[in-house]
Amino acid sequence: MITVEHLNKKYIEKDGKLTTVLKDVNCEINKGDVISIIGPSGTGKSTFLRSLNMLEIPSGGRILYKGEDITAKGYPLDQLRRKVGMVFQQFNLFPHMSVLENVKFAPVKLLGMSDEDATKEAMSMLRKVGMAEKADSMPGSLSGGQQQRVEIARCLAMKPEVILFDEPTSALDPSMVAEVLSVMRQLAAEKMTMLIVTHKMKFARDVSNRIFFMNQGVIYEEGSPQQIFGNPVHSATKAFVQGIMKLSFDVTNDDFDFFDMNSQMSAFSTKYGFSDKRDKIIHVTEEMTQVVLQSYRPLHIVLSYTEMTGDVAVAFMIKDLHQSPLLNKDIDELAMTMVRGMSREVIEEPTKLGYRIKVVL
Amino acid sequence: MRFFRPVIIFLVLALCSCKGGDKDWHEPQSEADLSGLSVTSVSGTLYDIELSKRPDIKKVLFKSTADCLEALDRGMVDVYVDDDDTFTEPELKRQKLKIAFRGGMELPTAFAFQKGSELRDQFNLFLDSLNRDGSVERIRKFWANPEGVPFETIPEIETYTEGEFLRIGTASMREPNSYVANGVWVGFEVELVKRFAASLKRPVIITHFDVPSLIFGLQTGNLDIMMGSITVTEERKRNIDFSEPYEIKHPAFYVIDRESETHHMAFFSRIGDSFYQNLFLDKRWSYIIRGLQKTLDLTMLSVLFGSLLGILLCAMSRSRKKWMKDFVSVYALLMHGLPMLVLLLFMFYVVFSGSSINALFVAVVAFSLNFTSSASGIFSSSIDAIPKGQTEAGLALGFTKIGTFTNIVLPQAIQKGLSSFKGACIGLLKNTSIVGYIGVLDLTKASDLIRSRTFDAFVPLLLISVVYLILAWAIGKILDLALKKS
Repeated sequence: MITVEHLNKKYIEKDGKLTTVLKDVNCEINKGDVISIIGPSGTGKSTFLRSLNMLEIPSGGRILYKGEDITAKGYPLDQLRRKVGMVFQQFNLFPHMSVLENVKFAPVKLLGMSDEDATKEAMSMLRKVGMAEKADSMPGSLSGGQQQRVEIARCLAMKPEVILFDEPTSALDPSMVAEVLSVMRQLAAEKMTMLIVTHKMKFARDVSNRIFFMNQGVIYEEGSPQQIFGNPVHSATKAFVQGIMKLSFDVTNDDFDFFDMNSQMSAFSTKYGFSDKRDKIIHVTEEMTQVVLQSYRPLHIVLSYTEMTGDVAVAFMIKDLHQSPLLNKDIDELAMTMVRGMSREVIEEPTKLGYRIKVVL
Repeated sequence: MRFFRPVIIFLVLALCSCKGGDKDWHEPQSEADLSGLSVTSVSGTLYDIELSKRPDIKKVLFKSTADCLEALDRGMVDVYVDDDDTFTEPELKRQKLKIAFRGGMELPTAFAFQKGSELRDQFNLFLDSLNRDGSVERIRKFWANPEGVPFETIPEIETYTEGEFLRIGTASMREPNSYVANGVWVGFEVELVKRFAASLKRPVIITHFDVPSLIFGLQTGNLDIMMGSITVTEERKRNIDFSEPYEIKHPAFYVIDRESETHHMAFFSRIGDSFYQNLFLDKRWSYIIRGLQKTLDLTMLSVLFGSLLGILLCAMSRSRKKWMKDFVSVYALLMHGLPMLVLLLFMFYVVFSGSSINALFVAVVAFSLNFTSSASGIFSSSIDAIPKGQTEAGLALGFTKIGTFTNIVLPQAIQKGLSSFKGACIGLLKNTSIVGYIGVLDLTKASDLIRSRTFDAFVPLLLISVVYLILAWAIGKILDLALKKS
């Protein structure tokens, strides 16, 4: 239905710097697809979505809609946009019209529907999103979730073939997210073709048949929800879907500022809500760097927290080493015993770059 | 109580100013007696210069006869000096004035022309022929009406509508020389110039200005003839040419007549008399109606053209082309910086100088240009006030760029900008009160005209104040209604 070929978007910022938002995006979207686009912020998810109805004009590449190149000069974009609906983060309802008028305005003006037909149609759309009762209210008097449902009804009234959702729940109060997501679930169940930029991982896993993981301006990894969430190929994907947060340091010699490292680790553990483990983290790190692995420099230290499992681990990596330093006879056994005592598990593993000792707390 | 305090203060002040204290008063009988008194005259006249030669006299100048009389009435000055034909007998009575004594100076009165103008010679020949058959005397007698009832008709003269207009400027709106009665310029001088124009087979247009504007008008070629009891002076002769004098006047020194009946008239009958004098005598209310018409024409046309041009300018300011944006900012800078009156005078005396274009037209041009800048600013900021998401929503639904603007952005922008637009329209309405400067007979000028004949400021100003207030209110209501309909 939609084919995207080598899509890229660059722009020159005010200070003359060239920023590349989309590098090279390629994909094929089929009828009936429900695609969630996930990824860290600033990786071009929204820009990609907005390119699909040409609200964002790409710098290069092509987008074919049913075989027609919509990026071609002079392509009637207003015609395209009647078939490609969009739901915005900020809902953008027309504040000077009632809910009903918002929904029937475009069908009357653009599809030439009679007022009577459009009203009937609009009411059935409003019923579908559960907003028929508020048909005569003004948008300003509605809650965010209600406004977003009206926005969906307004979009549906144009009988679109595809709907693009640009972070539809990001501007909502947490208590109102569910009502909007349930309307979207219903649409997905009705086999509406949908592309959704979202941060709601559980929703994305439940509702989509395909997931695009976007990173650094490309579709970094694409697959079924089972694949992306269960067994991602790339580590960046894994880190993102599992919600792994990392804090890393390089100890090159003994002049390293250990106090600064301690305070950063302390702040990190407070930020992600595991400050109960803070003392352990600092203690383990101290024992490992200054006693057990005292003679191994440079030492790469990574403190990581996995949102999904709640696991906290400190990893120590020694470059270009192929066997475990813990086998060394000179090692301080007492200190190592203390570390093992404080941790749930100590994993020793060789990696491509060197040897890693991961202490899971 | 807090609200009434200023009202009470105002009333007390008004009462005090009405009752000028009677100090030891010796009526001056000669110019020598004037020593130590305060004397008023109209600024820029011959008396202004003559009074300056007497350091023992306290000189107080005002812009019009009406203002001088107001000062005399309030006891701010003792004596008012002006030509001895300034007032008719009934007027003197009504103004509770009398002539204390007449000065010895001779003041020839004549018509004035552009320096080196051929028209002057033609006029002199014409005047000479009228003098010889006694017509001048006959016409003078006709207008010098002893009963003081203003004439409503002028003796039949052939009028021409084709050909180049003979543009006459008059400094006087006073009987018997040149004044408006029933909407028509009449009087001794008016009849003379109309007869002169008829002899040239040319149509006439008469406009009222103050003396400095008239002289400037002659010099720039905006006017052909200047009249209105113009005194020939050596200084003026350097700038303009005069016809043969047709009358010799003398200065008269006016003082309040303390024995007059009017002076002791009751407050309310004075008010009643004032209303009669200002509005009903000689159908003077009709000036107000015609002034209102001009003010309305000027305001509505300027709002219309200013708004249309404002839309254009607003579109230019949003264009991608740099020169268009630059043009708009320079234009806005000019219009913000120039006082409206200066712009108006500049248009009248410089841009349209020498052309026989109607002054109302010039005023419409000047006010439209000024309104264009404020209108475009209001339009621009109202459009900017609509969030970008509204445009995106419109586009995403399938409206074209223009369709999005007209269907979604514009209706909201109009709602946002309406109150500022209303304010700008009312500001324009109030600003139009300066068009009298270029001779357009608007509401304010109409009140001036009445004032210059009745020498009463209160009633005409009160009346037009009420009219302006009603107009301002009505403009707001009309715009609100227009918005509701759309």
